[in-house]
Amino acid sequence: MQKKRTIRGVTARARIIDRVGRYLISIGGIGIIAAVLGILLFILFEAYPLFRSPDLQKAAAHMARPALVIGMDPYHAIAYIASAEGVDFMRLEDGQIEKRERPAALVGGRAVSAARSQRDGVLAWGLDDGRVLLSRIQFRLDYSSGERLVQPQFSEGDLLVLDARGEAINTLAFQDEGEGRAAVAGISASGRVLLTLREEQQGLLGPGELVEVSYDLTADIEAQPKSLLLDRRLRRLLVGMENGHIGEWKLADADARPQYQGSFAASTAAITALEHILGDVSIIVGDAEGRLHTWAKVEADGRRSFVRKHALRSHGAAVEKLVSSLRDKQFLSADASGHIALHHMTTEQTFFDIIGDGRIADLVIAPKSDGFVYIAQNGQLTHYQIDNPHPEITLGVLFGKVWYEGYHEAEFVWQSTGGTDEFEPKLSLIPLLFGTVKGTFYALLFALPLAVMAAIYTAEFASPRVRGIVKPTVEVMASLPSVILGFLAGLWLAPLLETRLVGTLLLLPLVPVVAVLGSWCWQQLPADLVRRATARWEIYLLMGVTLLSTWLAFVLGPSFEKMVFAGHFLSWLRDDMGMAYDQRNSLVVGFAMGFAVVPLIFTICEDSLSSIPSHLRAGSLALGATRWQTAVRVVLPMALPGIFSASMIGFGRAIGETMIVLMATGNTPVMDWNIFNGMRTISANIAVELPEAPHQGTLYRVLFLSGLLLFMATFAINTLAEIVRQRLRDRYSRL
Amino acid sequence: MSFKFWRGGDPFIWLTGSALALCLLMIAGLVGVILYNGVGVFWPKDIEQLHLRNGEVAMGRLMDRQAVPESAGLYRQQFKIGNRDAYGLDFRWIDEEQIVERERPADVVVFERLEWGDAYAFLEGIYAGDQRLAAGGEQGWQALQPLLAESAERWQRIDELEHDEIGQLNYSMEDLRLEIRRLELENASSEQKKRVAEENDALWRQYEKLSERLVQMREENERIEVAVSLAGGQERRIKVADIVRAYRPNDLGLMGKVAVYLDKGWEFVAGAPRESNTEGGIFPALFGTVMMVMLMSLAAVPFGILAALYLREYARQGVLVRLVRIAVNNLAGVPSIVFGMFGLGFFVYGVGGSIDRLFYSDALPTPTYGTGGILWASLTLALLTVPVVIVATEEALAAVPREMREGSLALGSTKFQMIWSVVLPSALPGILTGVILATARGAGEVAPLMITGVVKLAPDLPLDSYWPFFHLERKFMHLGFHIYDVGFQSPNVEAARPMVYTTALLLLLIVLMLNLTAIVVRNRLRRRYASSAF
Repeated sequence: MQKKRTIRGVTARARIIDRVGRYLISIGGIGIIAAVLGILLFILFEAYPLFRSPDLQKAAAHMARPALVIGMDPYHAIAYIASAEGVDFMRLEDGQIEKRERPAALVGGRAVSAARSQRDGVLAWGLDDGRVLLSRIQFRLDYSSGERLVQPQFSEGDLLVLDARGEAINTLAFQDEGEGRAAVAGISASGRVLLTLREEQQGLLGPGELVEVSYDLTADIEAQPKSLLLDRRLRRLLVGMENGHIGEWKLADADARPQYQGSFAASTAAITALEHILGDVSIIVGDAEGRLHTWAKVEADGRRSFVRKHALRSHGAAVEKLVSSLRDKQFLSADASGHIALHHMTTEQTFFDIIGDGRIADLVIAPKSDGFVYIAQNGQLTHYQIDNPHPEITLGVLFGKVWYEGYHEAEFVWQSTGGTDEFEPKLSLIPLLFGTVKGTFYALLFALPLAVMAAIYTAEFASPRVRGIVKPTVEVMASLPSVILGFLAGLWLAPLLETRLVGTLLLLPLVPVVAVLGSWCWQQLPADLVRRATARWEIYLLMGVTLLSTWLAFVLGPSFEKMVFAGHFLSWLRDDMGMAYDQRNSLVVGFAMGFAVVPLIFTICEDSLSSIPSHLRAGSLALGATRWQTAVRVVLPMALPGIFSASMIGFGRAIGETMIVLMATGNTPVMDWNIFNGMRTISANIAVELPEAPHQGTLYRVLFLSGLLLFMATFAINTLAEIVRQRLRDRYSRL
Repeated sequence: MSFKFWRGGDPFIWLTGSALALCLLMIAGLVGVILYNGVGVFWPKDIEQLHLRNGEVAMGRLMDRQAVPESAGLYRQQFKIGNRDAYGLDFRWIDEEQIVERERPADVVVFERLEWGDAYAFLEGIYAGDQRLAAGGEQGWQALQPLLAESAERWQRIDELEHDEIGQLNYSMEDLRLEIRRLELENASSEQKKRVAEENDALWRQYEKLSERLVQMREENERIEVAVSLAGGQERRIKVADIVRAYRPNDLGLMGKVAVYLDKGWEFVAGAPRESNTEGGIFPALFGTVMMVMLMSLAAVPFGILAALYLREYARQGVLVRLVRIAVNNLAGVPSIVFGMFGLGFFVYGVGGSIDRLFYSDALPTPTYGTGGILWASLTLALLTVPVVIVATEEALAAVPREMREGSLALGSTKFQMIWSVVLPSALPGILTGVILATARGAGEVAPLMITGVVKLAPDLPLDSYWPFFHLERKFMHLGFHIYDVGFQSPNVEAARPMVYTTALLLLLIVLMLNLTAIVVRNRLRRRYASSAF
């Protein structure tokens, strides 16, 4: 530093400016480079939580009275504990009992079983004399004090008779359809299956005209019943039996006897627990040997029958309780040895398996699936919180075939949103990847030969004047906004292609044939004229010939169509080939995207061709090779890496192109190589779905993941191309 | 075709040549299609009255002609028949063999309306309620002209009232609303609350008065109606206030048509959109595009040049810098949608969300900066174009001869002086070209905007006369998105298509102009510096 100061002629001001300049430039430069590189990290961090394993935390444990059934509110404030005498409301935070309800019908602890419906806020007790007491539990939110207060409300409902013989109801199931229909099913102490159907004009607990009919279904079944399941829309009753079979009844109006549909073998051991997955399409079956499977009805040979779809991790002991989430396809299972596990049906994952305090009396999953509460036989109530925001995502779901509800087999499906909350999101990236590859493939199929050949001509055979015009023209072409290309492709080209399809396809063979013919005719002219005219007129001649072949193709198209395809290509395609034709298809995308990629490939190709030292060319020509031979045998091999790098860069551009694909295809995520179909690419998918995706939700993160894939793919491709180009540059400089 | 013919390779040369010819023809075709469809949109074509074989009379503008499918030798013609309110559609195909007679009546009037598109009809009279002000035909046409002028003036007044006075009022009311919220949050004294409430009442009274006046003016505006008869003889009434423009195309001479053409062209560039963007102008989109590009350049250019200067002049050239260079190079090839995604996640939700929580918490949960807006869109695009600027600037810096640097240093300048007065000036042409090309790329990019703040119809421009004048949090319109939206999302694509072509033409012109400027700048400056080099 001392030395620098003594440099003569440098004023202090200049030195200060120099230093400030250096710091500013360095900070700014490093900052902007870091910011740009930070993009990758940011996208990575947005996608990463998809794969985080769930976090399980014990929040509280309190002593309560032995329970039949428990329930909780969405905010983890209050749990209710239904026991033989009534129901207690306990604050989960400190274990205080806020409220006790003792319905008159239960005095003396007459209840022997209970059932709840979290979603409908209904609690039912099965009494020791064959009756059932209904009640409603709701949680009101009170914000008047500035904070959220959860207030439980209990209202007692009807007392109805399930078993006219007065046996105790040991197992109980209850469903209210919401529009006046309700059903109570039970298994009595002696193993009889009983069902009571109700219909009324108004809600179950309100007034209204009431039809109530009870049925004894025991005669239908062949083995001892163990578990019961009613669906929310009251279409069927399922009964799990001792012998591993599940019997099914079809429910109709209250005054019609439920029809027995027969039974199917779901297991070799007794069916100890049954539950619906959210949406009531799939059922979970747990047996006495701890096995867990989900079943759903699938149509085969015109009949809909239950099929085993997913297997979950087995328990070591009989599965006793199953509780499904109200938010997604997760469910909790508890077995006789006190193990509790959380599973996700679609992904077949088991997130955790913990040991409770002895045998579990009941457990309930929080309405938002962010926690659960269980109560042991001894009355010990434990509250857990779960942080598992994206249970539906695994690598298997993203990249593998999954058997979704309502499908005949495992498939790759992308369908991110559905009509209802019960929708099973289908987030396979494979159709999108496929669409991306398909679009890119057709674009390059069109662009690559065109661009490379045009570049060869420009670099090797065209006159300098032509080259001087062509290069800037192509550069301008490169800067055409893709939205214009997409719009023309979608609104102008697509309808045009539909009517001139055969003519367009004829272009493919006609252009080369006419070019070769033209060349031959040209050769027949006097050699002197040819030589003189080639330099100046060749390009115009070529344009003329190309125009001619285009015209020819469109003129011949209809007659060709008549001759070969019986007058109508599209109907031939549909009827004889069984291929569908979309107006906005891959052919259109190939054209438009090819148009966007051509200038890119052309420029780089042309650069690498024309930067080959000219003494190589001169040598070859001097040895008697023709122009073409020189180009193909000498120049092209040298420039091959450059051409490769050009195609890689074109590839990189094509896989990320958004607007053209968005506008020129139907954006349906199909998996079909058919050129007359559309596709949905990753980029278009992001553009369509990201604005609607809730911030940091599963879809949002999956879209970021797909973007990350796109980013990494283009980055890798471009790096490869760049390295190849640098190598090539080194090689040239050595020549 | 002999062996020699193939061996010499001439057919292959022609093959490659025809590939080039095809490329050039495609470019010419593309520009031609846009010009052909875009330029003629505003031309007031004649209106033809057709007498059909079945006795029907139709009237419209000839748009297209094509062969009738599956019946050889027959053609049909597409007419724009207008009067969407009467017919339900804008276009109609008529088989040529159906047409018995076609004529061009001189007194057909085209009414461009605020609603329902154009009406093609004969003028039958002018009415104020039941009172007849003028008869039809020529007399009515003459009487209509001053009425149209009056109506236009009145619309302008209404517009002023709505935008300036009521706009100002709304603005104050929103301010007050936020203040009330803040006072509530802060548990302010009742006195303060009372004061604010009084202010609020005053504003409301003012607002009511203004809106009453507005209603009055609108009523006045709607009083006078034009009675017209359509081609089939149906009678209809059109409010004078609904008429944007009226002319008689068949009666116009060439100059008259040119005047209408220019008038409509001007409305397109400088006017606001009507009828869900399918009619009227695109000024907001044009303005949004230009402003976004300017903001983007403001962010991208200085930083891009800084980064390039650092990479080329200050950083120690080693493996790391080479890696960074490759990375930056590659970022220029990363799909724009990825940048858009980043913009949404980082700028909108990250930075914008934090700004909202810190400074605009009284407006929450309505986001201010935590939603897409012109600032975030511009920054996203800036990020997208920065690599392009860096690469171009670096190349330009590298092209400055070593001798010039050494000469400058030998004369005793500091490094910064050398960069500032020797390197930068001679690299300027390259840098400028790069900047302009990057701008052109940014101007044509749409995908990232779709997720960071572009909308189909923005109520306000991001620049107006209210403090702080630049409203960078506002959503904006963009030419490219306009093309996508009107062309693909509009309910009446057929009627919107001409607008899309003209918008595409405009965008194409902007981008081509930027590119040509870049080429010209490059050539001129290169020449200047080439001659001054030693």
